[in-house]
Amino acid sequence: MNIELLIPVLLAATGPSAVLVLAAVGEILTEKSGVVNIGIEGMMLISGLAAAVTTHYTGSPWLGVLAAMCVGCILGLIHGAASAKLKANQIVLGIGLNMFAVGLAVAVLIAVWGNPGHSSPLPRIPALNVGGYSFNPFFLLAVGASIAAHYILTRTGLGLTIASCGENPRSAEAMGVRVELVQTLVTGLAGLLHGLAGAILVLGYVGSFTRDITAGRGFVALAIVVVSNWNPLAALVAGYLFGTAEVLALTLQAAYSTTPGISELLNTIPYIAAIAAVALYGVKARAPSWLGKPYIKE
Amino acid sequence: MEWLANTLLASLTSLVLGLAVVGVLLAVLGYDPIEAYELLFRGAIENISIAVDRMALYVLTGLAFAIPALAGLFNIGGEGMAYLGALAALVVGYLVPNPLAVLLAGGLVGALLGVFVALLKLYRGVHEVVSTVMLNWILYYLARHIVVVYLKDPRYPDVSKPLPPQARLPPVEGVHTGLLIAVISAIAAYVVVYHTRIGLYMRATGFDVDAARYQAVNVKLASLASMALGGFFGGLAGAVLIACELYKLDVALSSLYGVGFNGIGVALLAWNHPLGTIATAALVSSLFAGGYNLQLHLDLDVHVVTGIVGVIVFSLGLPSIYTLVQRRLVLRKVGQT
Repeated sequence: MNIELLIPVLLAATGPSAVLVLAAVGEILTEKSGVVNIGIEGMMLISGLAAAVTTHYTGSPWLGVLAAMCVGCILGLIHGAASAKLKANQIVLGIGLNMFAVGLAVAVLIAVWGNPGHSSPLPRIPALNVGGYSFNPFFLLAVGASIAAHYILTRTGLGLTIASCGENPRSAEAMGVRVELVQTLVTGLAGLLHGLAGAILVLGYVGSFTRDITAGRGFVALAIVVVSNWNPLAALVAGYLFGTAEVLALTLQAAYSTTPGISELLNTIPYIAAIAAVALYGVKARAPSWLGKPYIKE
Repeated sequence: MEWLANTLLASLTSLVLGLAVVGVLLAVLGYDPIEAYELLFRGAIENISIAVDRMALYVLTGLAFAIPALAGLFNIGGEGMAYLGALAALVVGYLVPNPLAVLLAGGLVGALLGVFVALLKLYRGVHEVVSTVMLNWILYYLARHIVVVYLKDPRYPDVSKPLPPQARLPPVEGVHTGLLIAVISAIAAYVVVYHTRIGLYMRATGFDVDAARYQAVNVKLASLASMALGGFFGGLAGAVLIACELYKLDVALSSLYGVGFNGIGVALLAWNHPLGTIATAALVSSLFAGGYNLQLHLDLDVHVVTGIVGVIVFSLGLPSIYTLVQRRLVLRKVGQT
């Protein structure tokens, strides 16, 4: 392939991959602490909705991003507290949140924009332009977040504390770690990143809110977490590859737009890639020992 | 009996919570929640034919979640299984216009999909939640592709060719054949899960994998069997829609969209008991029939009801709801004596 053709694809990939990387890095943090959150999809949908509504009424996409982060953080804290404190079934919570998000999105879309499918076009966060190459500014944030998360998890006492909750909460407790509090707060922080991912999806990538805007990205992020073996830097690489796959699918769709049925077929590419990647590279991955199990003190 | 009373109370609590949260939400958005509730409840009776149609599908997708769940697997793929089942039912119906062949085709492709998911988990470590959700999306687009390119009715836009009349199962003397199939399926699933050896293995695996292994239970076989059986019913849901209800499929799959997810709500409300899904499917499908009233009279969308089911599922994930209910019961008893 001609390199001149490849550069626009690589630059365009910064948008979708920023979403995936931030969602995956958030999930890595929360899973390291022992809590699994399969409600990323719903959290991105609800926070993306918050971003859209806030931007619609204030005219400022930046306020929209802020609102999405707040909403994401609150949802994360709820999931964290329900998982850590109330010993809930974390998978069932996630399924419920994902379904609730669909109902909420539809109701708010009708109330604000008068139809159940999509919002009106929203003011977008502008692309960054460096030397003639324009890319998504949030990609830098995603790179920063994954480096920071990697540093925290591997080089700091805080990272050790988080990992101890996910590996052996009983020993962590014996060492004086307040397991339930750490899990709740980390899941809240992760929620903030999921909220940011939702905002980027709406305001930095698509430019409007639609009912099915997340389209399984929350679960692709879960796949990235496994493929990256819970390593934020690997998640950055994997997220970027998946973002590139998405842009390639879109580019091919544009090329074949006149042939009926082709765009549907091309849409399956990212999902097939996700299953294949986990099947090929997920075998060697090792999840935190206590992942998803409620820790009940004796 | 006390166990039954407690579980019923917990399910009821979650239902009330679901209605309450969405009621508050509608009030915030400027709707009259009392009017919405009234429409919702009236809709179950006014749109009884929609309710019965949906109920047949929800029993089956409920089983698609419940059976693997009893073996410890979270099958989120009821949605994709139903898509694939509907597709297989149509294709087989065109070639072999026989209702039994149509239904079996739907069930079998669902079962194969279930086995594929179980194999991915057992041999490649792909968590079933990730694989089933990805498959839902893959099958959604694949089904659309196949309907658009190969099965489209040239006379109408966006609809597949109809199922040949000989392959259909219309109501017999007023009895909805789909519902009959669904109820028989639930009873069959109950017998397999609670009265056969493989059913015991499934439940043992779901209860405690390690304990099951020490008792020489073939855990892999139990997982495979539970996903195959669950998948069969998921695929059958799609085939029932084709053979007993619509006799065709629309390009956007809107007639199937959400059946898998609502099946999860149905199963959890029934605490994954196969026979319980009959009752809870009646409940959830009534909510959906009511949802059409919201669409008709308040210009809302039927998918608002998905929000209600979502809250129900979320609250059923909280064990504290259950213990809260239980504690109140116990306390009252102590107080009385």
